[in-house]
Amino acid sequence: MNLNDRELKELFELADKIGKKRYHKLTEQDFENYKKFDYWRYINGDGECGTTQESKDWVEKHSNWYCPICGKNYSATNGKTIDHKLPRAQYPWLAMNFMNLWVICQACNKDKGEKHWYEYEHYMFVHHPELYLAVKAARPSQLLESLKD
Amino acid sequence: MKRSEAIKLLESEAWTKADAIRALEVIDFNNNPDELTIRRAISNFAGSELSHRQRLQAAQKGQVTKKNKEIEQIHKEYDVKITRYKQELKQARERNETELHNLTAVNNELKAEVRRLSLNNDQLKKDNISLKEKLQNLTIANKDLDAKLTNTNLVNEQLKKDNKDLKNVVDAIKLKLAIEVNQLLKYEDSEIRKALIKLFNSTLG
Ligand SMILES: [Zn+2]
Repeated sequence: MNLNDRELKELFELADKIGKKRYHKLTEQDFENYKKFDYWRYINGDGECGTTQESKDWVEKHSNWYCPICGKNYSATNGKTIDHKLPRAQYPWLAMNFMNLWVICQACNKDKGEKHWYEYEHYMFVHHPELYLAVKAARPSQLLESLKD
Repeated sequence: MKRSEAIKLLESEAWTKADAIRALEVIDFNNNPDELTIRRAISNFAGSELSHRQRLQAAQKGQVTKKNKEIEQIHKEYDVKITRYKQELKQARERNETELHNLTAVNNELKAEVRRLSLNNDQLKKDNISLKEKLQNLTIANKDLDAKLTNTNLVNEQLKKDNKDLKNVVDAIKLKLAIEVNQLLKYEDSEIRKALIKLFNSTLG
C-alpha cells in the first residue's frame, strides 16, 4: 500500500480500522476479563436479574446528583450508568479496573458509545464544545500511559 | 534228721525248696526229729497247700480262659478294624493319587501360565521403558511449548497494548489538529481558510 497517494482522511480511516480491532474475540482470557464486569455488576452476570449490592454501593460512593459530563440531574436523563472510559470490548484487561470506571448519565453513555478516549474528546470538541473541558478533565491519563508499559 | 537233710528229702520228692522251708517251719530240729515225725508234721501243710494251690490253679485257669477269650475278641475286633483301616487307607491312597494327578495337571498349567505371564511381563517392562522415554520426550516438548506459549501470550499482551496505544496517539493527533485548526480559523485570509476547513474536515471520523 502506498501511503503517499492517500488523502489525510483516508490515512486516518486506516489507522482507525487497525486501532479498533476487537481483541476479546481473539483469546479466551480476553473474553473472561470482559465478562468479569458483568458478574460484578449484575446478579448471576445477567442484566435481566438486576444489579448487585456491591456495584450499587460503588455507584453510590462514586457519584452525586449530577452527570459529570452534561451536568444534568440524573432523574432527568434516565438515571445513572457505569461507563468504561476505555471501552471493555476494546480494552478487556481493563474491564474491572476501577480507575477505568465512572458514573455518567444514560444519555451521555449512549452518546459516548464504543469510542476510544481521544476519539471521544475529539467528538465532544466538535459537536459539544461547551462540554469539552468537562470531558478533558476526566481523561484517564494513567491508564493511557499504562499502554506504553 | 537235720534241717538240710529234711529239705533235700522233700526236694527229692518234687517239692520246691521254698515250699519245703515253709512246711518245715513247724518242726524243732534241736530235738533231732526222725523221718516219721517230719512226714506227720508236713502232711498238714501239704494237704492245705495242695488244696489252696488247686483252687488257685483253677481260678488262674479260669482267668486264663477268660483272658484268652478277651484276647481272641480283641484280635477279632482288631482284625475288623485293621481290615477297615486297610480299606480306608487304600481308598485314601486312591483319592490321593487322583488328587496328585489333578494337582500335577494344575501345576503344569500354572507353570505354563507363569511362563506366559513372565514373557508378558518382560514385554510390558520393555513397553514401560519405551513409554517412559516417550513421556520424558513429551514432557520436554511440552515444557518447550509452554515456554513458547507463555512467550506468545506475553507478546500478544504487548501487541494489544501497542495497538491501542497507537490508536490513541493517532486520535490525540487528530484532536490536536482539530484544536489548532480551530484556533487558526479565527484569521481572515480566505484561501488559507479554505485549506484549513479542508484539513479540519479531514480530522472528522
Ligand atoms: Zn450526561
